[in-house]
Amino acid sequence: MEVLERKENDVMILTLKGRLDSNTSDEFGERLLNLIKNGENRLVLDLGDVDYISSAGLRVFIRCVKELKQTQGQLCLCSMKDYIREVFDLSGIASLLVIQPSLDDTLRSI
Amino acid sequence: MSENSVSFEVKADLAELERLREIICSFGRDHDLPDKIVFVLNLVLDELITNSIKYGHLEAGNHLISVHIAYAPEAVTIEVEDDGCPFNPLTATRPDIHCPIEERGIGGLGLHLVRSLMDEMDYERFKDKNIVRIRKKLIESGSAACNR
Repeated sequence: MEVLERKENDVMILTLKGRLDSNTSDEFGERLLNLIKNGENRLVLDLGDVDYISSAGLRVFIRCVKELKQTQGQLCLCSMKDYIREVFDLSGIASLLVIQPSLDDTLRSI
Repeated sequence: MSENSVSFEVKADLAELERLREIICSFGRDHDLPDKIVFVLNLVLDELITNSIKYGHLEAGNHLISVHIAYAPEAVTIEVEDDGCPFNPLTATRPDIHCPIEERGIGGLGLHLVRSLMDEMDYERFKDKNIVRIRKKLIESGSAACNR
């Protein structure tokens, strides 16, 4: 999986491309948690080019939301495909964070 | 093996998930399945195989997990068989997906997704093997299967 990182104002934006599964989630989770530990507490993840996510990928988001809760931080996801959005809904994770249709919507609201 | 079905074995190794993806994509192309169905089939097989490896204690030996996928115009049926420890996914603890984030656990999600995304699921322990059978309808009345 490819991850591009950029910062706009105080917001860390990560653009993901590929698959979030058992083989890629640990590394990505570590990267995300490290960003949070280093003080980033407004994070936006653009999932427009993520075409697969399993429970291993979903667990990364639960861990990050837990971590951000300590620092009053915010995690927003955007641009996800309908079938990816469905697993966030089914797993109850959609109610734990903000999901927006597009990156522009997210940057306006965060 | 008919052209409407595919059977294969995967090693008890998470690196096999990439080969699984290729097989499912090819199956999807052969039967002109929508992207969403291909995703769901890949996801449920990923979760079942990952569970077999993690909870069936298959890591230690040269175990193989057998998979059979059959297409019919009304549904896709899948059978997954492993020789790991007895593990009934139907009686596995269900995660509380509505609790506050502070109390939210991180386990049990995979099987929860399998149960939620499939229309039927059953389990049998037969001749020291775990056999899980699942079925996904291709013709839905509304989207009831996904709203449970």
